[in-house]
Amino acid sequence: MAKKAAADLTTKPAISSVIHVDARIAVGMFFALTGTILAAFGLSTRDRVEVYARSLGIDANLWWGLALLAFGIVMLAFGRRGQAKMERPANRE
Amino acid sequence: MPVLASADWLILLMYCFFVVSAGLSLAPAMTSSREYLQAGRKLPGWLCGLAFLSAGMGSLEVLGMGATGAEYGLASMGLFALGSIPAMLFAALVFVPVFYGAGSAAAPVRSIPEYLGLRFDRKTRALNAVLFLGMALFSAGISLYAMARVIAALHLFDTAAGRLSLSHAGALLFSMALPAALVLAYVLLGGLVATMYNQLLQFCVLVAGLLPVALLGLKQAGGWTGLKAVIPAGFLHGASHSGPHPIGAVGLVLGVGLVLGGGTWCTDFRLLQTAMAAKDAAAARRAPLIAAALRIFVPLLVILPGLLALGLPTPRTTITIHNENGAIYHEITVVPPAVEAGRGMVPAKADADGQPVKGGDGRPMLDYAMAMPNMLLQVLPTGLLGLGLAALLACLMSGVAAGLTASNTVFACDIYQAFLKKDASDKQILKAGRWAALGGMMLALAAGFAATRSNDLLDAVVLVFAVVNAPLFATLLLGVLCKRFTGHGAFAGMIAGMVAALLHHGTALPRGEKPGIQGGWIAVMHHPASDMALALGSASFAFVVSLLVTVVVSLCTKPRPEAELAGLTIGSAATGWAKGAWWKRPETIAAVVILLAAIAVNLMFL
Repeated sequence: MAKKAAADLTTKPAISSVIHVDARIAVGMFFALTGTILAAFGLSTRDRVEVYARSLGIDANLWWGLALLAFGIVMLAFGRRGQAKMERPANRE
Repeated sequence: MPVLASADWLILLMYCFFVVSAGLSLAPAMTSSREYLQAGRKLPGWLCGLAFLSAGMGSLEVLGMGATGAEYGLASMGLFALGSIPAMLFAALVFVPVFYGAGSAAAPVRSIPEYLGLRFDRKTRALNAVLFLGMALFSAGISLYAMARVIAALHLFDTAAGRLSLSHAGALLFSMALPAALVLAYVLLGGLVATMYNQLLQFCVLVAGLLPVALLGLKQAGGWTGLKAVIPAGFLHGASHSGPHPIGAVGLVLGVGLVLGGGTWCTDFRLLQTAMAAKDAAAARRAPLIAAALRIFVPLLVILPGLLALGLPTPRTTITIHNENGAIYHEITVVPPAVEAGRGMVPAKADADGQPVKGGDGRPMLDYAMAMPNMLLQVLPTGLLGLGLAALLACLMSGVAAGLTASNTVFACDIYQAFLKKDASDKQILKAGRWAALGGMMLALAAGFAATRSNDLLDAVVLVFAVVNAPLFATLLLGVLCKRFTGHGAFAGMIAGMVAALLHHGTALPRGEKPGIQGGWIAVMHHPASDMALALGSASFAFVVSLLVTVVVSLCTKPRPEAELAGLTIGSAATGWAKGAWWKRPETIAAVVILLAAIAVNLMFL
């Protein structure tokens, strides 16, 4: 049974040639966007005491939004570098 | 009651959009069954590692961690480390290289049942394939139900459900079907690649959503010293291990470290499929190592909020009267009796009338699973709350998607191709995989729906682990380590292990429980100290019986010729390891460093 399966697949290369998008690009985009939204929301609500009563008056949206934005940009940079490396003809085989 | 603002909804919707678009963008690449079921076996090690970790942090695990944190304190960190780190390192050094390298270069092994078929025989493969499908789909359904229950208890979608005029059961079903539909969409479109890409995103969202809860919660409790002051003394020290759970050191190491850890991280195809999608043997080995290094710290993110929930004041029904320009205002905050009977932000379990449920000692039984989710509402401001809920959704989706992709691979390879249609073309296998995903999700939803009718099913998950994973771990352990063990031995061992787990569970009952899914449904013969001791006992008993029966039957039957087993055991596998003494090889050095780091981190809390 195993041999039959092997015969089925011998015509195909062991490593396929389809190239995906680097996973970090999507993650980077998500966090860059989320970070921007959170920071913008944090900026627009920074004077509203009732919004930040739960977080003891800290504008957590603004600061965490900025942190996520930075993380998103770093991931995007890594992702683009990885993508370029993947698409280089030498690695395509 | 907290209502989600538009900023929260925006973030939640964006998260949903990103997970589905990952499926959409990868759909054109799904040209063969290898692309779809095995992610083309070309993913980098770091991605496999993060997906490996994320697949093991489904909603049941994360809610369970928060609950254990609230129930037993920081000492549960050690319990989680013991139940994962050694097994993950063992997987990296022994199991993953064998599974990854098994089969020929053109047709590498695609699933654990397929490995069992090569290493042992067809009947072992078929038995395991069927058991695995049942286990994976059942747990996926229960995960959906567990999270839907939390969503209902937080009253998050009450306004949305009210607008759609849904009943309570309808709202529950709605909050199960919605994440299920999203997961199904990206699994159907992008297969394992989309699942693993999303697991990376989901892991990041989990950290991004829960880290602020831990930090703000700690701030609210007055920092570390404040936390120490408000929670019971034992909760920050390992001493509470021996308090509520007299399992003993041997029981801990055997039950948690060996059987629970090995049965999960070395055996469960839902996790191992991510490592088996790596681009080469080196990347595959690296996956569990990366996962283990992160796993040292990740439980703290979930346990700390659970623990902090105990330290905050319990909400009470209050009436405040104030006078404004001569008008007298009475402000009444009504808190449900079950919440008022709770401890800190941990509510008591409520019966059908909303009254707190009393335990055997007359004190209200606490619903520890709500500890961590309640903390989200307590400390996160509008905006961040959306991200926190996205984190809960993320852990749910990563676990359910892992179950779905693993079961569609097992169905397509080990049932459809192996037994139903042996000459299936690659296109037909691909199609079978997609249909299996659709059918699997329907079955999972049916299990989730059944759980809304009977709460017992939630407790059945640990029994299913003891019946399926514990005997399989024994079989795989023997099969991977040594060539002498035979197919008859493995088959007999797995059956014996299943029977042993059921017998143990049926004859033991924790004190104060009623016979049924909690144990003792045959005849009550002994009383384990707690439900956790019972679950560990059943799993360990199944593991030991399976091990012994496999050994005895193997010794009585004829082994397969050595040549047929080339590359299927650790001694003969092409593991891709650098040669030389163990202290000169990078993977063993990494494993030792991770183990020492895990011990050091946990000693801080002992």
